[in-house]
Amino acid sequence: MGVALRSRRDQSQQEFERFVTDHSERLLRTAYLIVWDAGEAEDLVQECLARVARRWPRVRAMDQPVAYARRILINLALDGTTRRNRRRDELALESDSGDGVDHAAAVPLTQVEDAVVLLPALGELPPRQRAVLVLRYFEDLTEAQTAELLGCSIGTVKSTTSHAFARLRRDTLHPLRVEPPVPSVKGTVDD
Amino acid sequence: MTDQLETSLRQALNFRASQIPDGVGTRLRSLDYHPRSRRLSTRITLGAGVGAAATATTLVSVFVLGGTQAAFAGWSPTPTAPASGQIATAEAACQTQLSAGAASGDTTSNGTTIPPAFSGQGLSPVLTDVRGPYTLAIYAAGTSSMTCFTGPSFTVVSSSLSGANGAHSASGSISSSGTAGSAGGGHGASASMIGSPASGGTVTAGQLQISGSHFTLPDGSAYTIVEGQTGTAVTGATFTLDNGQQVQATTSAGWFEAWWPGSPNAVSAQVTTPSGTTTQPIPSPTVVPGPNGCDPTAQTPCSGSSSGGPGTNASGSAG
Repeated sequence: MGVALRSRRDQSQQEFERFVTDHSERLLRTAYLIVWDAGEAEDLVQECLARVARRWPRVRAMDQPVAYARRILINLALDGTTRRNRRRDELALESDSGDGVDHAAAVPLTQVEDAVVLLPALGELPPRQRAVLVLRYFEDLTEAQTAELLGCSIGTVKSTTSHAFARLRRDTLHPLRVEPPVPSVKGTVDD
Repeated sequence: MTDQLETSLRQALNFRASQIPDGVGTRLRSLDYHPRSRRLSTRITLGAGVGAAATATTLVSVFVLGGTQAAFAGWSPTPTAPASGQIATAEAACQTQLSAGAASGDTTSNGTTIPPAFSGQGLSPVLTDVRGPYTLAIYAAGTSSMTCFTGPSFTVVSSSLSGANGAHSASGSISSSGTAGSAGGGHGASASMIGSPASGGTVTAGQLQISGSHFTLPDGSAYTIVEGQTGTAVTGATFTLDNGQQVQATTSAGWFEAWWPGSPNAVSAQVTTPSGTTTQPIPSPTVVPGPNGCDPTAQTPCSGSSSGGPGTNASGSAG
């Protein structure tokens, strides 16, 4: 009996280690994109995986353990304490960003360079707006999946996306900004 | 237009995600995320020593559960406030290891039985240094001391056995074995001394009596500990390493200790007393190659093994 129990326990631990191997990198990238800081992202993923480990016997039986881990990660990334710290960093970034360079004038309008131009503006988005964009356009989740993960309505996801896009257009000083303003939609999850 | 922005956004996010610094993913995969509720059943065998040790650094036991945190993430060059329960947890781990050493009937590398004081009996904690998740504690009995170093997934106990003639040497490597789920198995570590007291006896008021050792854990993580006693007037000490890094020591009640990741040596010490701060050079260690020719002060330190302790020795005092 003791041997059988130990065997099951070892198998469970091996499954968890495989889970970490398979998913930690992706979770790290998602965290990094939301909090915009590698050190904080690493801390968040460590905490996330530690929590998953504590509940692993239950989590391993789920259809998608990684969805559970991602939910923990998002909650950690957006909780009040870390948001305050992150906002402080963002304020520092904002104060450092006034380099006086007209980035739009210097950048040819190819798609790849468009992406590069977007980065500073992405970094200045409120974390919740960035989280919606990351889940929709990096994790490729649907609006419904994103809403479920964030605990909000689909309408809120749509409106948050619209507001984020509007801000990106404005902040990148890009020809895209000549597009007509995005209609105001109720229920954003801006900070 | 929105389609183009979405395309650019996907590219920007993927580009940004590719910019995560190297090593972060590896660190995450190497961590032990399970609660440390199980204990290793440790079997300790001391390896061959080097030289006739009057003062010897000997690794007494090493306990590794899963992997150590690569590069000692969270380390700080200045002592930090302990997290809630951190010191109590570290003391419990140390006592467990000390008891394991006592139960095993350990002998030193040259065949001498470890005195009872180093088998967990009669030792009292005299100083605890906390740097992030790592706790370094000195236990002392008489003129000798034992150091217990704990991190999120390991405990390393080493002892300094002082002799009467003030000679210095270094020795020691051990192997321990046990199981800790799939991450268990045999583990070893190595230690080498980089400095030791110039002589026995009382430390003068404004001086430090320095002893230091390089260690390498089984996963290749190297670290260096300096410790010792202070004169009565010493209120603080900061070490400058040969890579320029400054590391502030923890000092209290006539003792000091500090540690840092890697194998750089301390080249000078700033010693603070009520009358001011003075900077004193620390003599370079004299390298005594181990039996396998291993030089722990080289760029690539000796890796953990189950036998054959590397050794260097030196002496010095600052103040």
